[in-house]
Amino acid sequence: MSYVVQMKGVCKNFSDVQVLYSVDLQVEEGRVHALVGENGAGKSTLCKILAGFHPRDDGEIVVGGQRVGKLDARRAVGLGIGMIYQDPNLAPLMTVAENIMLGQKLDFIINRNQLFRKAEEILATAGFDLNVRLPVSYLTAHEKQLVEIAKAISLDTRILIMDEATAALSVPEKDHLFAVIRKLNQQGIAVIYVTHILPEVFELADRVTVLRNGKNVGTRKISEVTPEEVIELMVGHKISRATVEHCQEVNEVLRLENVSNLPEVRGVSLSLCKGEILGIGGLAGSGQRELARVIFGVDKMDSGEMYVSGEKVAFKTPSDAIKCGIALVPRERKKEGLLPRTCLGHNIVLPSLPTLTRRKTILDLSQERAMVQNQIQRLDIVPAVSSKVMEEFSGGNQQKAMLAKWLATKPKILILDEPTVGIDIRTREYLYGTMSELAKEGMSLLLMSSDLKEVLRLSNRVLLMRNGRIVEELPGDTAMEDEALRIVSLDERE
Amino acid sequence: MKGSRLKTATIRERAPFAVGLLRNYVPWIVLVIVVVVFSLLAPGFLSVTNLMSILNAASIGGLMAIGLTFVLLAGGFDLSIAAIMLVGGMIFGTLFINLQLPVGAAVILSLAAATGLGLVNGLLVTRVKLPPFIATFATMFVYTGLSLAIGGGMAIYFVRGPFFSFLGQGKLGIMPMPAVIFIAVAIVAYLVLRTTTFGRAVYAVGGNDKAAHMAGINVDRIRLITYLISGFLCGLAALIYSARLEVANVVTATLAGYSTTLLDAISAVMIGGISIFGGVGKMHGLIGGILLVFVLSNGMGILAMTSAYHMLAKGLLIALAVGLDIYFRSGVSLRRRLRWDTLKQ
Repeated sequence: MSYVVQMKGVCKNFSDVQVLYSVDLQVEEGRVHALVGENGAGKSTLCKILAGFHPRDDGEIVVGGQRVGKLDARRAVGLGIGMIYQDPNLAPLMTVAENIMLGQKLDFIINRNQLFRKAEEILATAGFDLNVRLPVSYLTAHEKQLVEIAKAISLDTRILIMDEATAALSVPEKDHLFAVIRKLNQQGIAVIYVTHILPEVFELADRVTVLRNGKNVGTRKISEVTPEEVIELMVGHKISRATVEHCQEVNEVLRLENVSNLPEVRGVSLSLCKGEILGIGGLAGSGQRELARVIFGVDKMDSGEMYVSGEKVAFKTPSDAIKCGIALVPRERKKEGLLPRTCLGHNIVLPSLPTLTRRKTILDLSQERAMVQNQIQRLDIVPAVSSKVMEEFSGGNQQKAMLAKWLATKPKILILDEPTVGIDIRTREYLYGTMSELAKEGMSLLLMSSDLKEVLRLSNRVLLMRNGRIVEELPGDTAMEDEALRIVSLDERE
Repeated sequence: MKGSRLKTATIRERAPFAVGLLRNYVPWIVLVIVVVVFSLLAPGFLSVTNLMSILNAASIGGLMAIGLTFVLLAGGFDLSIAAIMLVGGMIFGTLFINLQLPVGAAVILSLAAATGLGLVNGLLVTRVKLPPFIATFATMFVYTGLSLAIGGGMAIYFVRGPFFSFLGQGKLGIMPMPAVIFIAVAIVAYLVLRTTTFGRAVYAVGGNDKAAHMAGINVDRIRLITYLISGFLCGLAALIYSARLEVANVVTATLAGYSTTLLDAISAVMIGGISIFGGVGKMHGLIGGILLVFVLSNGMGILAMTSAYHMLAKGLLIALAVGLDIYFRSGVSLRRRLRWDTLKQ
């Protein structure tokens, strides 16, 4: 079997942080090569180097037996390297056809009908059923991916890089995507498949390379490796599972009575005890996110009552909620959680600023520094550089920074909205451990998640949500997963 | 695993010195080069008198640039700064000369009026939800029209008096009074941005308004206050302008300088590394930018270069400063860019 791509000793440095240490990667023709590793392991950087988006500092790249010198995005396309990102890189207002033909050499004056016909041909050979005249913004995430794949095929791509391709897909869409990938393989196209999700690796890939801290720690044939071995390679040691102890105390810190914010939240009542982890599980879009926003005062409630430590409250803004000792770690890190172009330190102290002052307005800078160092160490944020700009951190460390930011406010009630989406296994286990520690220290946690296994494992009790309502309460026990899944996925129209 | 972790876990506050220097002081480095060039070419450029006159000239545009910086950092924009300055000057003139009000009252009322115009900008942005660029583009015309209406198209000439000799000709040691005011405001602005909750909130609002809101910051209030600051500093600039020229004049003196003042302030802000997308930029960079703009004007004036070269130089400088800024922030060091060539063969 010949290699279509060989990367040898590739090194990469961002400012003063080494991201890749002499990484080797060999990809076979017409096969799926999975690239796994935790957030920050260097997977994305390696792929972007191959796709010509970052120049490499050192190392050799051989494509189709030919050594490649300077590799920029244009050259990469010329060599048959294509990359499909997590968020598709399409022009949303242009039609499917225009997007597919974007990379092609066209006549200066474009004949629209001809454009549509050519795009239809490309889609037909690929076997995709899409309306080429539709603007891309009307498509689902999966359909957008198909457009990207069609675009890549039309550019004679031999090596297709896919980054977290299934993050936004449903199960049937995922199956379809995998069928598409297998078909690409038959046409001799190699796929480099970047993922966190190990079952996918074992379902799809022929070989797997594990990156850890910027180094290739092993490439294995799928038939010769077990999932446990891959996890060990990723993490660098055997995993010990965090366990959660059930709280005994019945000390109510938060009570909701018939809280509604239509149409997403419909008459939710719940009670949260001191030192308890209360899980709120349900399929994505069942109203957990909106419930969290109502409790935190981001959205106003239509009706209902809320009590914090027995006192009735009505939050108009998040700052009211923060004053009552509530914190919300939101789902959308980049949109709602962090200041991407501000340094880590300033991000961490942001909600705590009012407590770091002398005479209300002037900041106590030494106290601030202490808080930042404290939180960085507490949550083991890497690299531990408080002046580093937030967007330069990996996803897992951004998530830790977001948690650090809210723990610094010393909340009584911590609401976590999907805290482990897109997070690698080790950081995930670390966060789970942190959550149970916090609960033991007396903090009350409200965990919103569509990962039922996660809520059942971590929580003392789990409330299941469906269509904005709480439909069932279960004990926090992973054995209940089948039952929970059955309840949340019931179709109410039946 | 523990061992490797410990190595990276030492907390560093800053990037290495040289990198930090290049990243944060691009305008200052260019300024030093420009100063060296002028001191070699232009006779008398380095004299104390000339340097003080540069500071003096920089004070009006500088005050406006500081106000604009607050607005930009909070993710807004203010095109009406020069127009507010016009109105401020005309109101001051009308109150003080035509209505014979005491100087103190005229100063306070005209500053209040300028701040009020900033408030209107702020309300248009935060309440009416106009995009800042459009809101202040509109008020730029409105305020300019207002200033013309106040004066009835006529200039107001001031009579020489103690106020003018203090503000216009007065000195603190060797430092002209406008420069003293400018430096004082710059220091206060630096401290406010660096060491107060308000300053951090300004950066947060410009950096990500949703996250700022979720962190308990009243986003609209912070934005509104930045427009107030901008209006107030334009009013202050107007007082210095009036005192220096002894004329609060729309038609002759000012309208010519009007667009120059606005563009000088915007140039200073851009060269100073204040992001027009909000949330990024430092006071020391801005001061470098302000000095650079006015050193350039002064030096080229001494060399009797025409305004054609002047504009050429300023445009190139903006492109250079912003380009260097992006280059140093891109995370690829010069050494590595050069090493790149070895890979090409």
